[in-house]
Amino acid sequence: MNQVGIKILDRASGAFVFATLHQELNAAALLEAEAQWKPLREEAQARLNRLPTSDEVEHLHWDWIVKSRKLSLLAYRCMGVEYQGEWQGMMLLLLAGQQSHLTPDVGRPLVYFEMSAARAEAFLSRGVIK
Amino acid sequence: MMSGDRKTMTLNLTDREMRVVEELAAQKDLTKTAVIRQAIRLYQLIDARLAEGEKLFFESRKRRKSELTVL
Repeated sequence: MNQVGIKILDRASGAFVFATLHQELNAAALLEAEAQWKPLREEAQARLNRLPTSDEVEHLHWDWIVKSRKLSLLAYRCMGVEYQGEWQGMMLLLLAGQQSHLTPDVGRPLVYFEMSAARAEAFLSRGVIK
Repeated sequence: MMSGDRKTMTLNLTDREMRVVEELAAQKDLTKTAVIRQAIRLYQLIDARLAEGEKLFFESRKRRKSELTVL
């Protein structure tokens, strides 16, 4: 099964809501997320730029269109959380080429967590960007 | 693309090749199918990056680098 129901916290209401975890996204989903997130990201970046000093939020400059090209390879998988048609967060995983160096799992394959991102709104509401 | 769309194929391997698959499966605590799947993912990843002109290197514990050529 590539989709499972999960609960996520709606920060606006403080209540848990039912969302969908998509376990194997295609490039089209990343493009859709990019279309939804780009204006939010640009707004967040503009707010950051107005601050006298601010920590860089790494994923603000990520472009998921570029990331989507990796999904043509079997070694990559993208998962995402969607709520009411809006993408809330995504993560890109590398499924090959990494292995554990720690006992008791030495030599066993690892899923490498390559990157993740959430809607810039999440940062706005979290207080990282005011 | 989706993991639900699975096809079955018969794989003809020599005894030695099968032994390697079995050893890898035991070492990595995977099924033989999972070993083959991992191999395909890795092969495609490496092949795609080599095709773009990148090089593949291994580095020893003594920092000695050697380029791996994949045919």
